[in-house]
Amino acid sequence: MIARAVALTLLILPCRLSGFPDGPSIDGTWTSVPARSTEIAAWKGRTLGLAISVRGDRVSIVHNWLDRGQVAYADTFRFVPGGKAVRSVVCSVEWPDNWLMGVLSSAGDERTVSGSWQVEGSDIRTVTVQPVVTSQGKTTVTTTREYVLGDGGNTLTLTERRSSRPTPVVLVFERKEVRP
Amino acid sequence: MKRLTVLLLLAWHAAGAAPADQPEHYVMSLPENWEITGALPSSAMLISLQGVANIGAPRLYFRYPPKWDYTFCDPLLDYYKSSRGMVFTGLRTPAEALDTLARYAKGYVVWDTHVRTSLIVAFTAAGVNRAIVVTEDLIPLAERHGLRMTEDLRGKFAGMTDVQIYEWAFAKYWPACNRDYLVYMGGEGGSVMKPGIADFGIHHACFFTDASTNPKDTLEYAFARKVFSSLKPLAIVMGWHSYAKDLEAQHVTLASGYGLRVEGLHTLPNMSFNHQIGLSPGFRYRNNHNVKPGQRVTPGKKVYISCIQTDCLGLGAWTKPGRGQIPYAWEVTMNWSWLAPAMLQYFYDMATPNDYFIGSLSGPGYMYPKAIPPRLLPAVIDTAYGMMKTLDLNVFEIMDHAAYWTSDGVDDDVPEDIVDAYFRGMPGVLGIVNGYRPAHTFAVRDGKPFVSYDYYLSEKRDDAEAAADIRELAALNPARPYFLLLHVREWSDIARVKGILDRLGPEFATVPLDTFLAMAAAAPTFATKYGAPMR
Repeated sequence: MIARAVALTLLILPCRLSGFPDGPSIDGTWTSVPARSTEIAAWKGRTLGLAISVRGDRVSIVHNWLDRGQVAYADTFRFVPGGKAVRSVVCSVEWPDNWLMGVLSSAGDERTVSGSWQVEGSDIRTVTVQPVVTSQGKTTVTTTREYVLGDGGNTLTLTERRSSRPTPVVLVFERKEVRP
Repeated sequence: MKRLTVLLLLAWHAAGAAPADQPEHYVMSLPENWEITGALPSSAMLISLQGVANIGAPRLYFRYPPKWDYTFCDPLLDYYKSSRGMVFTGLRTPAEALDTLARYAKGYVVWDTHVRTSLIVAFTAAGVNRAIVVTEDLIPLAERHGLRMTEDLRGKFAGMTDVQIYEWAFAKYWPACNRDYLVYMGGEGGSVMKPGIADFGIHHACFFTDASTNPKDTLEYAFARKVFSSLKPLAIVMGWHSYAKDLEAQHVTLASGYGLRVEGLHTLPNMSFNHQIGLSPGFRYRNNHNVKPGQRVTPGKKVYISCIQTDCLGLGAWTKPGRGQIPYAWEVTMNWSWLAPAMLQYFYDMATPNDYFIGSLSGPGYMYPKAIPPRLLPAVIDTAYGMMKTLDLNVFEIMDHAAYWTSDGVDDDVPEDIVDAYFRGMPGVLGIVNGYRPAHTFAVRDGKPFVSYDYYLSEKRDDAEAAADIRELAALNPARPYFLLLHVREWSDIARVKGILDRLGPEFATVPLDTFLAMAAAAPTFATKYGAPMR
């Protein structure tokens, strides 16, 4: 009985924290489902996990690049949905999205992140403008990411469209269970 | 008199020897299993027999199983038959092999199946004693063939660490070992060993080890340093590091630090045989050049792609479908020009007009330039350049992973002084290519380009995503011409690579590497960039 109550509380908790009680919340930790996703070529073969938190009007999305389950590289996007683009300085030359291509992040340069709810508390779109370095020099990549909940809030689909790439990258995640 | 001659000939054949004017060549197939509890004891014995039987003449050749790293054993065997007129007699069983060839051995060494490392030591002992290696179970077989025990390692290493075992072996055998070669009997660990190179090491009385080159393994690392420092300058480290102990990058970094050249792999087969087969009379290495020296090639407004297959000629795609369909450059394992001349001739003879050879890898063998002491680098480059001239090569390839495990994978670049050193030491080259995974060093010296890989075509990458990657690179590098150097891992066959390139559209053109470099020299649209010096 107590275990059921705890489980129910944990299911409801993300909705309450996010302040959007009417539906499932994107808030939570997500693990990738490679079999249902576009094949990615992550830096050093890492896998991607997401940690999303919604606190008041602020959203934080952390792309955790995992090496044997441990976070080897974290790419963090913090913004206020509907607010101004947030500027930050790129700290690492690693371009975590694709290790096979001769592309590096432009460390020391500025990137911007903005976002907006597509469905309040549930589906969100971000736009990142990031400088990168290629063999011909510096250029800019604009990446639009759509995080959409499905399956009653148990799955999350991230569709990533880079201005430079002809095809989208579609990644499916499952909500990481919180064990009592 | 006639009767006496017949009797002598009959006696000769009864002894298992061929007439003096007809060299004896034998061929035997090895099984797929390499487990200590499986076929390894028997196969290790046979490979050691190969090492001693091939002393003085190439007598025994093995056909390795289908899953073996090197895929050219059968084609090369056919090549020897057709080009050299060799006739091989098949051997079916270990007993038959010993019946025929045990006379070339002076005894046997017993290794301990409970201590895997004892087999590595046994190979050293076999080379020094001209012996074969056997397990306890195989002693009766060896004895039946007139062989006597020269060393018994059973129980000798119980409870000892690898470094203690190797120190024991070093003290006992090193004074009698060859200083021109060292054999790293690494690769697979645990209950498996694939000692394809052991015949060569026994043939040349080499010291065998798999001591860790990871600095964190302080004792084994110190031992590896001691052995490396005891070799002659520019000596060859045959074989491969242990996947269970350290990283390739650590192994090659340490070897390069002593000016040694790594010549993989631990599975390189039949080298005691191949080492003794020379070039055909009058043969000269001839590459398939597409550009004449000094020729200017003007590029169009396109994306130019050139493909290079790395990781040694004999691995992967050479014998797979599609070779010759598109221009392809191949890393030449340059030391084969003297380690196995006919084997290298086989690749030159088989080359199609679309197969273009390049020198590699950073030196006369596999080395990391950032790890080579600066005082040794000019001699390393000069030796490599000499081989390139012999092999008719005018493009050289550099790779450096000296900081692989400390840079989180941002490590394939070389500093400006190293770029200068190579161009200075190789004045006749058309250009130099660099990297393994994508790298970011680009330059031009005296009209000759230094170009790094812009894409690493993994054998595991989905074809559609690989094509999207290449098209994305073209979008991120908007100036035309754009020169996209593509590294193809050896496990991708050319038919697959062609399929990916065919998806790209008319803006993309796949060209031979020398044409690619000549065009890059004419219109270098890449930004000059160098790596940081080694800390």
